[in-house]
Amino acid sequence: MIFNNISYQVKKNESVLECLLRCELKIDYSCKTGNCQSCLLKSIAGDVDKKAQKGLKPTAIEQGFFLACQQQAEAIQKAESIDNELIFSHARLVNKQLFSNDICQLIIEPVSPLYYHAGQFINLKNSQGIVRSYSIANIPSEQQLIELHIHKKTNGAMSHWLFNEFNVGDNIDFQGPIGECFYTSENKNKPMILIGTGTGAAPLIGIVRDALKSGHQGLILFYHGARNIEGLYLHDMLSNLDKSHSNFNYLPSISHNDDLLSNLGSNDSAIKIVVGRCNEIAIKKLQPTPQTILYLCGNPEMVNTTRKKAFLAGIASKNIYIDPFEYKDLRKSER
Amino acid sequence: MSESLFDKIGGEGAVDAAVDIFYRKVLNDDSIAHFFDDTDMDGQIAKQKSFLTMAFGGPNEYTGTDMRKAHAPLVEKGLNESHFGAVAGHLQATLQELGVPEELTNEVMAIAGSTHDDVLGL
Ligand code: HEM
Ligand code: FES
Repeated sequence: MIFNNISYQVKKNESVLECLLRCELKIDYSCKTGNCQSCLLKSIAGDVDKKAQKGLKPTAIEQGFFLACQQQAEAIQKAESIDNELIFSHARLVNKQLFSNDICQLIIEPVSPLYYHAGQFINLKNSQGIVRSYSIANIPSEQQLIELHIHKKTNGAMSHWLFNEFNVGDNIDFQGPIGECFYTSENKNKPMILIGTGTGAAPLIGIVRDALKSGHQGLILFYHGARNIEGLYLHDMLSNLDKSHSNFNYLPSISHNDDLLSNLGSNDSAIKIVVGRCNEIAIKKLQPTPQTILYLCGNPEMVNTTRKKAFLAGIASKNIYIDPFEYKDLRKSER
Repeated sequence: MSESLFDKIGGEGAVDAAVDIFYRKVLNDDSIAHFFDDTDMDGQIAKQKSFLTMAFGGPNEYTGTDMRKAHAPLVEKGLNESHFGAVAGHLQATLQELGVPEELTNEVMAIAGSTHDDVLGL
C-alpha cells in the first residue's frame, strides 16, 4: 500500500489504521470501531469496503474518503491523508464550569456558524493531536455556542487535558457535527424513552431540549444512571423539567449504594433515586409499542446489550437510536 | 411482462417489514442464536436483509459460490441440517405473520431450499 507517496508492507487482515500505526505513523484516530470518523483518509486507487464508508456523507464518499479503522489494508493500493482544513474547523472556549468533581461543562464558540442537531457529536483535537468525540448537549441558538460535558477518566489523556490545560479563551480544532442520534419532529406524538449512563446524558438532554422545544406530545421517560449520587450531575435540571412538563418523567438511579440515600434532603425534590442499573430498571418497566422511540447512550456494553434486549422486547430496530461511543483504550484500569 | 415474485410480495418494503420479525425469531431460538450472536446489530440486520431479499427473489448478486463462502465458517462451527430447517421454519412463520399468500410463500421456500447444498457446504 502506498500512503502519502511512501510504500508500506501490508499484513493479511489488518486494517489500514493498524498498518499505519504499526509503521509508527502519526495519524488521527479515536474509537477504532467505525463510529467517530476521526480516522478519515482518501483512497486514490483500490477497492473501498462498504463498511469503511458507513455513515459518511455522499460528498465524502464521492471523493473516495474512507474510515481507516474499518478498511482492509490489502484492498487499497494507494491512499493519502486529507487536508486538515477540509476536516477541521476551529472554536474558542468561552466558559468552563464544574458539574461535579470529575464532570465539567465546556461552552465553545465555533469561528463560523455550525449547523447541527443536539445529540450529534463533534471530535475535539487538542494541541498534542489527541482526538476524542463529545456529544452536543444544547440546541442551536442565535448565540452559536456549543455545550459539551466532559467526564474526567482514569488515565484519560484527553479528558485530563481538557480539565487541566484547556482554558477560557483558548482555541481548539474540531471535526463535525457527526451522527444520527438526534430528535426528529416526525416522532412528535410517539412515546420516547432515553437511557443514559454517566455523561451519556449529554446527547440525551440535548434531544430532550429539542423535543420539548418542538412541542413533543408523547410521553418522555429519561433514565439516567450513574455510579453514585455525584454522577447524577443533571439532577436538579432534570427534576425541574419533570415538574414543569407533565409528559416528562425523570428516573434517576445509582448502581452503588455508597451514599446513604436517606441523607438526601427529602424536601428539595420529590424525585426518587433508586438503586440498581438504569438499563435493567428501564428494560424491566418497558412497555413497547410499535411507535416507541428509544435513545441509548453511554458505555458500549450497556448500549449494545440494552439495544438487543429492547429489540427482542418488541421495539422496532429502526426506532432505536444509539450513540455508540467506545472508550475501549481507557478501560484498562478499574473505575 | 409479468410481475416478479419480489414485486408481488411487496419489494423492499416487504423486506423491511420482515427483517425485525425474522431476526427476533432467530435470536429467540437457542438452537441457532449463537450463529447470529454478533454485537454489531447493524451489520447483522444488513445481512438479514440480504438473506430476505435473496429468498424473496429480489435483486442480488450472490452466486452459489458466494453462499458457500459466506456459510463455510459456520459449517466449521457445526452448521447442519437441523439448523437449516430451523431457519427455513422461521422464514415461513415470518411470511405467515405478514399475511403473504400461500403460493408466494411456497415460491420463497423453494428459493431458500435451492441454496441448501451451498449453505451446508455439501
Ligand atoms: C435458508 C437458506 C439460506 C440463505 C438463502 C442464506 C443467505 C445468506 C446471505 C445472503 C447472507 C449474507 C452474506 C453476506 O453478505 O456476507 C448470509 C449470511 C449469514 N447466514 Fe445465511 N442463509 C441461509 C441459511 C442460513 C442458516 C441455516 C444459518 C445458520 C443457522 C445461516 C447463518 C448465517 C450467518 C450467521 C450469516 C452472517 C455471516 C457473517 O457474519 O458474515 N444462514 N446468509
Ligand atoms: S477511529 Fe475509525 S471511525 Fe473512529
